[in-house]
Amino acid sequence: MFLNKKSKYSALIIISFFLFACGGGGGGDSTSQSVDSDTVVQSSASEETASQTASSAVALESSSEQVVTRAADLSVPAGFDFSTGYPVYFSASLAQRNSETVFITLCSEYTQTGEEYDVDYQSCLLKVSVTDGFFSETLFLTNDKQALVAVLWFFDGSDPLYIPWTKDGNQDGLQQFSISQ
Amino acid sequence: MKLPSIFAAITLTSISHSVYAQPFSDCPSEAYLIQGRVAQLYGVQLATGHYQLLSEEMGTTGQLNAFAFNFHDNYLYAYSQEFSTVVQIGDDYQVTPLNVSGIPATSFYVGDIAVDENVYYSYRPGANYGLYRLPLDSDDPDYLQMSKVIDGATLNLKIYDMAFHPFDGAAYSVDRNGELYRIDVNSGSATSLGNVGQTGTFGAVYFDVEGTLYLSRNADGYVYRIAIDDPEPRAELYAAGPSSSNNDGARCAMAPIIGDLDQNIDFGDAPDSYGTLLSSNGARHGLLGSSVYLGAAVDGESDSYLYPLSDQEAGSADEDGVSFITNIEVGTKAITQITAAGDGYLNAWIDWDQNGEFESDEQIFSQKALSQGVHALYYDVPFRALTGETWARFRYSSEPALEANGGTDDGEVEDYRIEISESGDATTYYPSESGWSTLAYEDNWPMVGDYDMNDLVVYYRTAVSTKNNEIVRVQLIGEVVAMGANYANGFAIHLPGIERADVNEQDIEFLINRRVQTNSPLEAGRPEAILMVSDNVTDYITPGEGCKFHRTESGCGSSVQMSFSISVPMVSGVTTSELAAPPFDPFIFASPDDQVSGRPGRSLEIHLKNYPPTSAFDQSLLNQGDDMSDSATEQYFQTETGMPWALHIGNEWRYPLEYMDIIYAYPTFPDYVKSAGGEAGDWYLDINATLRNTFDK
Repeated sequence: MFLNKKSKYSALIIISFFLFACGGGGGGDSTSQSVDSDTVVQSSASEETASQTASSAVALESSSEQVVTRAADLSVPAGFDFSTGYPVYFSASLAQRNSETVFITLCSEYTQTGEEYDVDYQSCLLKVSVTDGFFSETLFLTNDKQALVAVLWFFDGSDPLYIPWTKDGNQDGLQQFSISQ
Repeated sequence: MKLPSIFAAITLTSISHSVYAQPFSDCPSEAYLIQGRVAQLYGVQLATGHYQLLSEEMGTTGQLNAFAFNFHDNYLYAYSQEFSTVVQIGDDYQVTPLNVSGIPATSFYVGDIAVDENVYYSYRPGANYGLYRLPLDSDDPDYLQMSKVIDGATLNLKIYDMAFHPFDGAAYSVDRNGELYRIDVNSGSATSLGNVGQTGTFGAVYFDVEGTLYLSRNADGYVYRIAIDDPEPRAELYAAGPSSSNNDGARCAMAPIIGDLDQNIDFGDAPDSYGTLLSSNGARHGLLGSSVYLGAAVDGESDSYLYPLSDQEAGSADEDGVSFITNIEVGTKAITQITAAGDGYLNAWIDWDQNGEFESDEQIFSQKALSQGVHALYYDVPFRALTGETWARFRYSSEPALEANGGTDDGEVEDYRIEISESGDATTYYPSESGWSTLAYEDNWPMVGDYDMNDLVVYYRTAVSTKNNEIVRVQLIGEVVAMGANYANGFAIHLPGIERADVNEQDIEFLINRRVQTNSPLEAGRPEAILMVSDNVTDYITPGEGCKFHRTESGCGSSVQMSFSISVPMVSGVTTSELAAPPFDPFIFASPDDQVSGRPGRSLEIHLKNYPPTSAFDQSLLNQGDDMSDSATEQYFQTETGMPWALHIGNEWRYPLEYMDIIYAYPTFPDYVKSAGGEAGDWYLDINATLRNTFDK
């Protein structure tokens, strides 16, 4: 595969480019780039880290009993996109409130003590004023976020309404967070 | 330093507590104020009005007036009612009466010591009195002999203190009608320089080394400042200080108003047009003895860290008392959450018309009393508010009535750069309004790299504002946190689904390191919308001292050197369904500046796996080296085994150290990969990392 495709560059330029690029990820000088990545990992790490590297390599045996010693040896389907997040379809039906503006915040960092919520409003994924009684949007959560709280603010001075949501672990399809008021 | 022969003049009554008095060690920025029928001495920080009692027992049972700091010997001097003479005060704050001859049978309450000569001048109006001079230099033939310069009928001023200018030799004061006078003490004449617009008894008058005059009004303690060189000098409210019916001040005129080492004042950080720097009478709060502030903390500075610097990043992160719960939308109500420490008053402003000033009709909260705790506060956004970026200022103090600028002796000011949007906007954030995701690149494409995933690491977040299912604006915000590469790379963000013509290019706001960039980041000559953050990030980033790379090696933890923010407004009619999901399509490319590697420049792009290259890309580069892209199946930037050159990770990721393969930094990453995401979906969290193999930021 290497250099067997048509290129608009001269062979000399291509060779020099790939030779320079080989092995070090552009991330080292020519000395470090001339060694293979296994050696690089171990030689650049402390003794403690090198020991960890060896033990990790054992722990990372694949099902075919081959030791995986570098990420480049891993194999994954071509269509897998390495996503670390998932979509959530959020919808709010505010039929009982459709004559007034309702402001909704959807945030991921909060603590709940009984009926009391302490929300970090710097952690919001959505802020919207709903004027016609309905709103929907697809949001994107990272895998480490499993819960949200929606806070509904009313401009008539009544207390805000807190509605928590947690990811449905049994749901293989699109996660949904629906509010009906 | 010449010291006057004070011992010859010491009286028996004062010798017991004055014999060891020493001069002050330097020319202090602090002002001194004497108050009370039995003199008490205060130190005053004029910048904030903060004062503290220095001595309630000065060795006299009477008043002290005509108070002066002597730049020539670093002692304080005053006229003593009890001793009917001039007294000297050292660092023990005790009076030592001087044996002055020729002193008239009256008391003085106006006086100061010249800067260009070691002479004490005192004044009392009336034909029998006047302006007097008293040399304090023991080498002067008239040492401690008081003589009249001019009678007080000829020089007839209704003044209560005076202060010598640091350089021009004249004394200045403001009379009770607000007339500013320049007094030539040699001729005994006075010249009116105009009315400053404030009346009252200004019992304490001071200069700083810049030649700015400060007045303290007895009735309310307000401190005003005056630019005496102004053709129409005006008294500008500067701080709220102590009030007293008996008030006399002294200050070393050669000292700046705040010492360089004084970090006990909190300033805002909005642009200086809002009144932010000390020299602009910026909003500021004294911290000594203060127990009210916003949020969990407040810290001090010697002057504002003016935007694009930041108070948040100076010292501790103390800009934590204000949360904007709702969008701020034209013609609606909005909600702000205030976290108040201690009971106090909130005053706040938003620059609705974006003219760079906080005007009186832009005050959203005025003298709002708050108790300690968390408060959700509603306010109206006027219809006249302009959409876009502007500034807000929140001040919290035990002082109820605060302007948008000026000093006060406790509390905190927090300035925020905020966005005003149209009514009905929805804003979605990824991963959240203040959180980060991470983009991590290997730049060796099309050859497989070492998978330390740190050749370029960018913390990244996005916000999309929509209205009625049309996109109003896309915001792209990031920090380049690591560069473990020898290659020079560019960084850009393609908005899949958005055409170049969909962008309202002239209204793009593009900041690098919070500084406005004059060039448009929208790449020219492309059909699609590509925002070019930089065509060479090495223009902004240098390795730490003794380091080969930027923040990828142990011990090379320099600060982040490059941040960016791009606000991309759309023309009307661009629907939300047209734009791909975040993170959109951020990619690196070979910098056109890179003349060393032989890489072809802009036409070499490296994208997240299965994101197609842009129209700028040279398609012939696909399938070179280890790349196994297949445009027919829309599979791009992956190896024969499906491995990528770039990762998008859902948190503020601790990336691997230089040369450290990701599997040794994140041991469950192989499980995640081999299961195609079915297992170890949180492989990237700190708790799943071998932390010693990651960069400790």
